[in-house]
This record gives sequence, C-alpha cells and structure tokens, in this order.
Amino acid sequence: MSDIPPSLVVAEAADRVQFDVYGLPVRASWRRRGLRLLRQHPLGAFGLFVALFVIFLAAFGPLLTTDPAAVSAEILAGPSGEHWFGTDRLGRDYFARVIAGARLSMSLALGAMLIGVSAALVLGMVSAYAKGAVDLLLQRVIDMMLAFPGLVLLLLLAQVIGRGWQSVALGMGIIFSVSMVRIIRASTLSTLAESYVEAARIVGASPYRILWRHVLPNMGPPLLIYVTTLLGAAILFEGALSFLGLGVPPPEPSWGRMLTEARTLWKYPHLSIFPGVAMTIAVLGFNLVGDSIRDILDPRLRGLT
Amino acid sequence: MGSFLVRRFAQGILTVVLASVLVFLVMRLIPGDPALLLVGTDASPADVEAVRERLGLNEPLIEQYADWLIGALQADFGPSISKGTEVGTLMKVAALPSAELAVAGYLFALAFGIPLGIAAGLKPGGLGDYAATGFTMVTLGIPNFVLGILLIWVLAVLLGWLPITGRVAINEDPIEAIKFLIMPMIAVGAGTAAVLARFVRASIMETLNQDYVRTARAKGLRERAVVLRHAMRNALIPVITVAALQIGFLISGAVIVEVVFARPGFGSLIIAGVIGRDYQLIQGMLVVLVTVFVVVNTLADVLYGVADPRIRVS
Repeated sequence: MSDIPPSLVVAEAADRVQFDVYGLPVRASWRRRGLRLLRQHPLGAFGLFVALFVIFLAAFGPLLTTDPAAVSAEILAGPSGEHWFGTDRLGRDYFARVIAGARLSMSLALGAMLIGVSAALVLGMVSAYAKGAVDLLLQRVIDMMLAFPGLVLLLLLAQVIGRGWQSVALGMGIIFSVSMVRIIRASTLSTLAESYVEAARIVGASPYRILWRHVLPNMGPPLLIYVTTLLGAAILFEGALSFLGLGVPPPEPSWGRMLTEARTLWKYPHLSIFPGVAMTIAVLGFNLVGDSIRDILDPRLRGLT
Repeated sequence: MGSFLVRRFAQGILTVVLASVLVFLVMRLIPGDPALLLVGTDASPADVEAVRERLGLNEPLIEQYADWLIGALQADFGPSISKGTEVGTLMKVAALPSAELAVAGYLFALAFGIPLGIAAGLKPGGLGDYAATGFTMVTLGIPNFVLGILLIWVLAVLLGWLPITGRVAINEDPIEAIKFLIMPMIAVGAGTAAVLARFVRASIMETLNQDYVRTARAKGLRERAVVLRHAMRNALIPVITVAALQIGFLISGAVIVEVVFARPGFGSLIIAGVIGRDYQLIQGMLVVLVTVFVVVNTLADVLYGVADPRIRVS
C-alpha cells in the first residue's frame, strides 16, 4: 500500500463508495449493486444470461419459427439454410421442434416449481408451528419419501397419477416439495423463536397471521437458493421421463422424446445432438445461477455438492 | 461407539419398513384392478374373482401387507403379472448387470473425481484447477442419458471403437464385457466424479488454511509430509459422506443409463414394470432399491463415525 500515492487510494475508494453529507457511506443503488454482483460472479452472470435466453425462447420462440408439427417430404435432411437443425423422420422442421421443446420444458419446470414451493411452504410452516404429533407424523412421511432416489420416486408417482402435462408437473412438484420441507421447517422454527413473533403472539395475532406476516417474509433467501437449482432439475427430470416414454405424450414436442426417437437413427446425429445440447445448455444455465445465488446468500455452503 | 451403531441401524430398519408401507399403499392406489389386468378384460367375473382370491386381493390391507412382508423377508416377492415368473427370480437375474454397472461407474467416479479435486485444491489457479473447473462445468449441465447418447455417437458410431449397445457377461468374455461397459460406466459416473472433484477441491483448500497445517510447515516438515500426513487425511474425511450419498444418485442414474445402452438390469425391469402396470414387480423392486439406498447411507454414517469421533455424540 505504501508505494501507492494516497490520493489514488482515495480516488479508487471514492469510485466504489459514496458518502452523504454526514460522511457516512451511502448504500449503492440497486442497479450499481446488481452490476457489482454480476461482476463478482461471472459464471453466475453467464448462467443468468443463458437462463433468461432459454425463458425468452420458451415464451416467444414458437412465434418466430414455423409450425413444429408441419410434415414435409424432406425426410431426415441435415442442417441447412432452410432447416437450421435439419428435419426429423416425418420431415418436420427440427429447429421449430427444439424451440417448442423449450416451451414444454420451461412450462413444466415452472409449474412443478410453483406446486413444489407452495406445498413445501404450507407443510414446512404448519409442521414447525403445530409441533407435537402433527410435526412428527409429517416429518416421518418426508423421511420415507427421502429414502427413495428421486427419479425412482418420480417413476412411482407417474404410475399413480398418470401421464399428461398436469400429472408430470404434479409428480415433479411433489418431489421438489419433499426436498424443501425440511429447510422451510428449520427456518420457520428459528423465526418462531424471534422476539417479534413472541410480541405478535402477545398482542393476540392468530397463527395464520403470524405465519403469513412474520414467518413467510423470512423464507425468501432459503427458497431462492433452491428455486433456480430446482428449475434445472425439473428440465432434467422432464427429459428423463420423456426419454423413458413416461412423460407428456405426443404430439407435444419434448427434448427427451426427441432423443428416444433418435436412438435407432444413429446415421443422423443431428437428431440427438440438437435436443441433447439444448437440454444441457438449459440445465447448465439454471445450475450456474443457482450456485451463484447460494454463494451470495449463504457463503458457508460454498463448494458443497 | 456401540450405542451409536445400534441407534443408526435401528433408524435404518425403521426407514425401510416405513418406506415399504408407503410403497404398498401407493401401489394399492393405482387405478385399475390388477386381477383384471392379469386375466384380460374378456374373462368371466368368476375367473377374475378366482385370481383376486389367489393374489390375496380380497383380504384386508393389513393382512395383505403382512403376507407380503413375510414373503419379502424370504426373498419371495410374489408373481410378476406382466412377465409370468417370480419377481424374486427376475430381480436376481437383473441384479448382477446393474451391480456391475453401478460399481464400475462408482469406481470411475472415485478414480477420476478425487485425484482431479486434489490436483485442483493443491494448486488453485493451476492447470489441474482449470481442468477440474472445465470438467465440472460441463458435467453440471449434461444429463447422464444425454452424455450416454453423445458418447455412443462419438466413440461407437463415428470412431467405431466400442460396441453401441448391449452387454456381455464378464465371466464369458472379460475383454468384450469391458468394452460394453466403458461407455455406460462413464455416463453413470461422470456426474458423481464432478461432485467429488468439486467437494474435494473445496475441502483441501479449506484444510490447507488450518492452523495445524501452518504449524506443520513451521516446524520444518517437507511439503510432501505436510500435504499427505496432515492436510489430506483431514480433508478427505468429509468426502466419505459425500461419496456415500452419491451412491443413491448413482443407482437412480443407472436406471436410465441402462435404458440408453439397452443393458439388462434393474432399470429396464422397472420401466417394464411401470409400462406393464406390474404392481408386484414395482413394489418388490422399489423396496429392494430403498433397502440398498438406506444400507449404503447407514454404512456411510457409521464409516464417518469411525473416521471422525466427533460425529458419534451428536
């Protein structure tokens, strides 16, 4: 430090921190803090870019492509100017189908996440608040479900609730909620021990009000860590289910099913590469965002799993 | 140590029993009459009734469960509706190829992931670190069945080095068997290898910052001795738990990779069961899978307790 002129040090610091009239540091604007976070987590920034791009394609992509179900005489053509990703064995444009697959994947992932998060919030908070027998019973049920490997449990659920969009979303939602209930319960327990919750109880707030107004707002950080990672996991689960022939039935284009259909057609590598790479990029994007969020919110977990 | 073992095993047994109850109940919730599925829709009601009687479907649920549990303890999981043989026999046949794949994948993960993590952790920012980061980045996104498909495309179709799909028993022709095993092994193990590499890297970097490592260096030990005897031993203890927990993911990963490579095994069997609505088969397989999962996790805990005495008390 000694060989740097003091004026430069001050200038550098002043670039980052601003002071108010009392000489106290001013909290940087949201925009500035966001940019700083992106700069500190380049991988997360990259992941965020990819994730937003996938979401954009899922939302608006199908408007920009041709009809993914339109059959043509050009069967199994390789990538060309007209068909960017080539065509499949019915002559359907593969680019349009991969984009449509993004829509299916993302909508299922969002649906599953919403179901999973709301179920986990209700179960976790009620379990922690109720204590006693309810808590014990709920936690044992969760233990039981955690004893199954995720994909295997999903296969079991697919058997019970059937196929189709809603069933797949529900099945994944159940798996996600099982993995989150414990974290929600633990955070609820620690919030319930706070003195402001005790104060609320003393002035006569109902359990519903305590959970809604005092506990729920504290659930943001632990949930945020999970949510993005779960979106990546959902894309993966949907792909696996469809690949095994247990996902959303045709005609809806799905990355997993496209991979199954390509399996006997090894001479046409574009059939498996494009959906495979699309799935990989999407999962990678959400996982990178999830990792960075976890690093930012909970540095103790850095490097784990 | 004794009470720790007892407590841990009692917990494990309880989990398996509860999970078997859950599987049993869920299987009964599935719409559709299994007896009707077995005899076909054009059978007479009397036939259906006879089959229901034979499968014990008319008894109360508790009795059905007790019967099933007693059978399961003797490795008798009842008849498979879709395959026409005993579920126990089917699983016995499928167990070897699956175990083979899971063990090979796990060994690959350990042999690849841990050295990579060590290399990265000892020299952050070095070549090994870049290799490890690149590898984990790619593996973080690629689903195992996509990796399998890409491997087939490159190694089997494009280069023709390895056979595309299938399996040869290892006692028939060891060299052929290994050729068939290489790609599925990588597909199953790569994810676990990445998790291990990341975890080992973090663990080593943390350990190298500890006071006792500084003490070891300060008293003039050679770097080799510091790393091998003081840092590594402590850094690898938490790896045991992570490595063991990964076995569960590996098993469920093997289910789908087996389908990619058309290998016989638990994966293909469970899919056949789900598609054929074969509830006896699924029930038996799920309980066996959960048992394996719980046993492995319990062993991991015990091992951890042996390696790190602090764990036993909490």
